[in-house]
Amino acid sequence: MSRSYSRGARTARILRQISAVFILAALVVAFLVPGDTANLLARAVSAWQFFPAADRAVYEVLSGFKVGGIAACISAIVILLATGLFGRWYCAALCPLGTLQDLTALIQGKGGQRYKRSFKPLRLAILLAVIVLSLLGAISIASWADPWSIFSRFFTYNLRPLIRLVHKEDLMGLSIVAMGLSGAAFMAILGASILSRRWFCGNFCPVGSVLGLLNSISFVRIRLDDRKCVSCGACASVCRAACIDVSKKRLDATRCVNCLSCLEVCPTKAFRYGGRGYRKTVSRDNTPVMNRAQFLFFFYRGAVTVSLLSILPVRAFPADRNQPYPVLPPGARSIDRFTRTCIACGLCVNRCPSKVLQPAPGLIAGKGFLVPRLDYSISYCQYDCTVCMEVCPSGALEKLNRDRKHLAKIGDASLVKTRCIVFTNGTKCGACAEHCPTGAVRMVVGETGLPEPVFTSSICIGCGACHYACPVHPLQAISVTGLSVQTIAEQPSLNLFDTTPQGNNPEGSEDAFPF
Amino acid sequence: MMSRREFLRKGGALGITGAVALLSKKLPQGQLWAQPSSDIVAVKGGSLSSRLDRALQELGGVGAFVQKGQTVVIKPNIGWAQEPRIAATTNPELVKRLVEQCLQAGAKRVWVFDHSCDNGPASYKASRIEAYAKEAGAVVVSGDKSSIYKSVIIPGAVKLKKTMVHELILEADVFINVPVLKEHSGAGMTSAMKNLMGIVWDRGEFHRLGLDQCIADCCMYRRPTLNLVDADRIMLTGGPRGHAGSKYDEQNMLIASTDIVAIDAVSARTLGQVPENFGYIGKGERQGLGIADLSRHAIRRIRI
Repeated sequence: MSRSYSRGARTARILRQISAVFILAALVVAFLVPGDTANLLARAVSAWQFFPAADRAVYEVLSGFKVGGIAACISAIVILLATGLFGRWYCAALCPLGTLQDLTALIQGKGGQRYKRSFKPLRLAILLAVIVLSLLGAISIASWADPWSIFSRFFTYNLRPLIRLVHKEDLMGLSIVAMGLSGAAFMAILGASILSRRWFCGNFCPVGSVLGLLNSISFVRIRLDDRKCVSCGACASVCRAACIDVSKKRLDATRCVNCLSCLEVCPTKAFRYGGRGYRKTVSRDNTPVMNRAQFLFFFYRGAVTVSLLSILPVRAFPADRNQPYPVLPPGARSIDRFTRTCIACGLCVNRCPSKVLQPAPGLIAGKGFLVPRLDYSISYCQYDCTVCMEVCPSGALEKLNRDRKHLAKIGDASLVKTRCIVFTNGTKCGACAEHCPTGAVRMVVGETGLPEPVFTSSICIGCGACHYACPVHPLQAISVTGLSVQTIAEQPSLNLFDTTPQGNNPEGSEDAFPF
Repeated sequence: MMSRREFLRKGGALGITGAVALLSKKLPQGQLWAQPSSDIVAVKGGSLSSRLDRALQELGGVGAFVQKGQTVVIKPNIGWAQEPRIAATTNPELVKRLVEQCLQAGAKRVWVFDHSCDNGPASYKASRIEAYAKEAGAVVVSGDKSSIYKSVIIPGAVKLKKTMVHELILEADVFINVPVLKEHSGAGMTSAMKNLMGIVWDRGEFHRLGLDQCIADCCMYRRPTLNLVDADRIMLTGGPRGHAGSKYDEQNMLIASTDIVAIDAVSARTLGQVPENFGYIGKGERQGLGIADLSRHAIRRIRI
């Protein structure tokens, strides 16, 4: 190799770092700043996070490409293909949790880092558990091993409330469970990284395991030439994945994240990023995850498990009929589909402008853990808003446009007149009707001589405006519950309000003063 | 360690200081019992801006209300995340012109806020009021967090004796109320009096204690220096939020008065109704907020 080689490595390393820092910075804005630009960033970056992308692609395939079409699968396919061809770039260039772990090296100081053995059974067990749980429909539980979800939840449930506290905003709907678990998972991963760099990525992360496996068989990746290596240890002290064993002159390709640090520091240029090269024998730098016999065993057993699970799926967790259904975000379609596809990363919860989206307490339908639902004690769903569907990176929320969202029925209200202020106090109210965007609740003067609420279910979309606005507490006179399957409401008729007293001003009263 | 006596002494001193500070904050610049002017100005035709200019001119110019170096708070109706054409919110052009007028009169600062019913930022944006007001040089303040509302006692209130009011209402020298006139499913009509519900944090309480009485009580806290009712495009049905089937009356009018009761009585007539149809007008009159009987007012009807 010529001199220009290490310069090339440096350029590539800088490009990788720019990408990593850009993604992290974009996400910091996307998670912590309100507004449309941040939503756009959230959407653009999260679309390229592997776990939700894979979730989205699998759902798309299962639904026969009817929801988002092939476009919804592109990022998953690109990441897999690129990794198979060019190695595991994803983890050090696109994964924000990976970048944050790399930043722990700053605390750690220079040197001090050694090769750490990986515990392969753990990786395989986690990967298998994630796949099995996902197929069973408990993907929101499986996602507790996913780096994107862990990152997103930490920013949503731990950092964002802090920012809101600083701005003296009202902190409503804080879930102690969400805060505690998100914080603990995030801190544990960063802590582990201080002890052993990117411990999570090489020993736990299911995305890392898949991409690592692909890396070890990819055409182009970082390779260590054991004939050139002098075991000086320069590489190991900068390696971001603690994956170079200098005493054995080996690089664990299943954990290498292409950070390229080794290429720059190696005094003998024993590393190269490239193809298999001229040597016929398989170089010793490849430490296989398992041998061929093991691989076949796992493959067949995995295939059998997966096919069995997909034949008899998801009935494992029936919905609890005794509980009222939670109100799910628009585009969720049904409780069963939603809980099977939502990874509970909390991005929608974070971006929801009215903060009505909150993690549900307990398990929804026995399998959705901390998945978002609408909490009408906090706010209500804004009629014209489509942010949750726009930013959702998994296949959980179908992207409905504004017109379709206006008719998406996510719940249904029920009016209990015996609790209504107009009847109990004999005073005017109408808080429900004034907030209702469709006219499903409207005020009509009745026997009391006052405007009384009248409810039409067929045009109610379940947005919760009435529920939130109803001043009767703690049991509202009008309240909204969710539906097991979301439907489409009827278009409100244009003469809904013709019963209102219109006064005696005919059209075109422009000239005369009416008083 | 502090001795008990010392603790009591210090605590007492602190309490008295606090009480004095609170009281001095709570008494709004002596306008509470000022006699309302009986002038009502209604201007029809022209643009929203020219209507405002003319109305202010009739009332002695904006300088009659805003002195040099004063702070002004403008309270439009930004209740809903609706576009200006829906007329569920005050027309942004009117707000913009008013901000300009105040600044021209030498106002030190002009604030604009409302406690929206829909999501605050969404309403500020959709109504275009935030953009227009900022363009004119106003400081647009959010109204959707409880930390900017202060606990106050409302002297003379019947039901709503204590509530939380936006701090700018306590702070500003001049308070201008700029509602949009429309039909309201709950209160019947929303104009100047009902618009002040948006200076309060907890509106649910209004409904629980009795809507009409609380609207009247709320107006007792600080009477606006001036009320300007946007009666350009009046929503006659489907209010206050507005629906696809809402009917409108294009009145192209602006009404101005310092008497909040009188201006609501005029608003009622404009809707084709009588002031007696709206309980809060009568209650407000009985509580000394103004005079609903239009025959006792000098009304200037101007067409431009």
